[in-house]
Amino acid sequence: MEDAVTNYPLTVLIAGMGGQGVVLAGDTLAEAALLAGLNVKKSEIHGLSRRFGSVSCQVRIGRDLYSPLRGHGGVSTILSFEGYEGLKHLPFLQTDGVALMNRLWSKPGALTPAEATAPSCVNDKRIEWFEGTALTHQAECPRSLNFFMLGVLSARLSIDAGAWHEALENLLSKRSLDVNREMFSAGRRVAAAHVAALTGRPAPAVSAPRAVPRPALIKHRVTEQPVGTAANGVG
Amino acid sequence: MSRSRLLLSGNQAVARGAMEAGVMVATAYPGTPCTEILESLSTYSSVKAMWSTNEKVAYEVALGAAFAGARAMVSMKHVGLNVAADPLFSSVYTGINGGLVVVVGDDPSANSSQNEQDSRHYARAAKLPMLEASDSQEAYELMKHAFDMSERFDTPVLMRMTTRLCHSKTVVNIGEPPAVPPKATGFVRDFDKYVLLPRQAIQRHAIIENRLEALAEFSDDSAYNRMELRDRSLGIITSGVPYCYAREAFPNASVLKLAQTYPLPKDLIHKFAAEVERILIIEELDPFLEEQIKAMGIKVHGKEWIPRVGELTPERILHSVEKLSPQPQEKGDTTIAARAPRICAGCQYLGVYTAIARLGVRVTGDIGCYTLGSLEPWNAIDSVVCMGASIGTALGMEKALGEESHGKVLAIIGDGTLLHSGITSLMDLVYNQGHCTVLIMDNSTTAMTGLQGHPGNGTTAKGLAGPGVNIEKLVQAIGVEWIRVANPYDLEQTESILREALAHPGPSVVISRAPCLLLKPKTLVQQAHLKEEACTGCGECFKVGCVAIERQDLGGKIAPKINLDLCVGCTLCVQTCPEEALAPKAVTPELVEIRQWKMPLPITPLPY
Repeated sequence: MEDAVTNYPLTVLIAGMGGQGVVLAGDTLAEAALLAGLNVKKSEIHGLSRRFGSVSCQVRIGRDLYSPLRGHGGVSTILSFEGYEGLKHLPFLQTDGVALMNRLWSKPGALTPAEATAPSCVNDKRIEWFEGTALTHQAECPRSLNFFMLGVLSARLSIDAGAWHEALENLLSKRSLDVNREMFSAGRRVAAAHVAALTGRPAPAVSAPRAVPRPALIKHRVTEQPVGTAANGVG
Repeated sequence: MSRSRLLLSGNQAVARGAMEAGVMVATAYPGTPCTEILESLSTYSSVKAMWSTNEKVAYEVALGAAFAGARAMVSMKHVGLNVAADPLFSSVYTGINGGLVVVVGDDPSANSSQNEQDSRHYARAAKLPMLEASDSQEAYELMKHAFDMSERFDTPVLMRMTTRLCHSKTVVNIGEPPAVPPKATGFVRDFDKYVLLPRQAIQRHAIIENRLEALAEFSDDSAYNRMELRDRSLGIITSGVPYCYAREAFPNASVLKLAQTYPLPKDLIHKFAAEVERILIIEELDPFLEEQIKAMGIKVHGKEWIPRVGELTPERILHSVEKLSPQPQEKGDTTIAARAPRICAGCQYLGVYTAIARLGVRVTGDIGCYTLGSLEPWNAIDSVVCMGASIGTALGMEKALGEESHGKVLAIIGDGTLLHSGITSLMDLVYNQGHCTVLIMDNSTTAMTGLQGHPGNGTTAKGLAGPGVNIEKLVQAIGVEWIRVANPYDLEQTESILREALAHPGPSVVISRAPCLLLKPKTLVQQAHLKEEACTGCGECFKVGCVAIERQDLGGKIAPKINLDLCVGCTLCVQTCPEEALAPKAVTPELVEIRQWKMPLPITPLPY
């Protein structure tokens, strides 16, 4: 998936755990696509999300859209905030799709100690790993992981930066806008560098993060991710 | 914001459509998938939006408003319509005055429900017209259509939704609110219409049958029932969200898309059948359309291919039809465990279930967050059926098992559920001299569906505060003589009160009271800390089942590891530790400040 615009309609499945902001990330993606003049359909499963259950949503973008969701083999991109949730949804991914996964493991059924065995699908070639949890923890705003990962996704979509930033402004409160915009831009930079390394072409032009007054708690800037290191595979 | 092109969920679209159609009174009982309908309506100043005590009451309030000449609506989930079925059936007989639209949300795949019922059968059983939308734009338009239809034919109209429609967001081109605020036209006495004595009921029945014929003809001409002719070798008859799946799966097929699915547009269906070679009916759950169309003498394919169980997707439909045999439900990677929902860290239920697990009694459960007590590690609930069922089933068990069950049957129910439909069963328990104990867990809100108000806390849908029901006095007035209030954060006290209650001959009630932490978060003053050398790895603290208690291997013993991002300092785990290895420790104000920014998330070390 080099240039999403040639691949419309595009189906993105966002997966995570209750509390990680899956639904808000999906809403932001849908709003950005809408502002970019595209047709959008979004559907979500969130009945028990507040209780640490699984949460997922699908956002479909394109001109002629019918179904608000696709089944197995029908999703072009998975954006996952947690490892197991991402792996669980791999059957939904098209054979030529891509799974952009945050490296965080939270074992389902936390009553048992984490086992040292990985599900076999962890080595699926379609998965690309990102250190979203580590980077957002480092920046002392782990709650912005969803926007970091949305930034990662944004580098793959032909929705212009203006639409993204307008969507962020429309959906976020004043209090959380600056931090989340910062993490979104960080994710976008990390992913753009990643795409450039994979394709051997220069990174597409991505708007520089705006200079924003940072809340006192945000102490560290997210540094650019060296490409080809641990971010690319399972460590 | 004055945008006219909005991304709305099906729920929001229904609310918007109703508001623009001039709905004046709207009632509901919260329940996934359609809780957000009333929540959206409550934001419009022109709508009197109310949470009701239960769905039957909600229906009756809306019906009364319609009698008085206002446009009214009532919304509920599928199992709620079972509760409201009594007034539903009879209101079809009385008819309405102002328009009345009944919105019901089915839950194919039972994402957050106790069954997977197909509420479309209600339309046929109760003899009222039914509409189904396939996306938010159509849901928005159909609400206006439904009110017009309701008034034109003097009948309530059923608007049937599904989780997929309720929770999907699609683009809606909205219109304007009514130019003048809606107003009721007034009630005019009409004995033969509104008073259902047997003689009147028989007369009204005849009117209903004629009305259904007229509605079928109306359906034939409805612009919302649409024939889309493309490739004639395959014709699909479908409605609701399955229309979208059908278009996705068979983009070239001809489609008859039905919005009015009861009574069916018979002429239109015959016309469509004459245009295409083969007909496939694509519908979720039961063969509701299929059976009726087969009864019209038309040869169709349907449920021999399309699954009856679970929600459809374009892929499931394609799979089923291509293989010409029913497919098992899609499953993800089965090597990865499902992520079960958990009770929040520090919730009062943790204390209650830890205590109950020590009692060794039969526990009949009810519907709410507390249903999760049926899971590991407590396994504290033995049956869950429907709203309010705990007390009745406990009484039945006790009567069947006789004296040996005395002191061994406990019913547990939340405050919201008690008021919804548990209170009548509690009366029954007293009246029939049962020997059960009822534990009322009062968290002062409807927690599971998202903190809606209810008569117990007195907060209305519009956010007004009221006095709230006094549960102790209510229970006392019913005739329960043994009533105690327990503090669920005191394990010993809770356990001993429960033991006392169970030992009491006759009905006894224990009220465990603490506000829901989502409603009123605990001020963080302390957190649990482990003294590693004192821990023997006995595992008592794990029996609390708190998400903040993770496991770690300390030199061969499995010890607790407190996740400080989650711990609220309730001390329940501290109380279970026989070695005093867990102790509360005061937190610094800086940590409190930082934690407001931290995502509460259980993070375990990398497994590989």
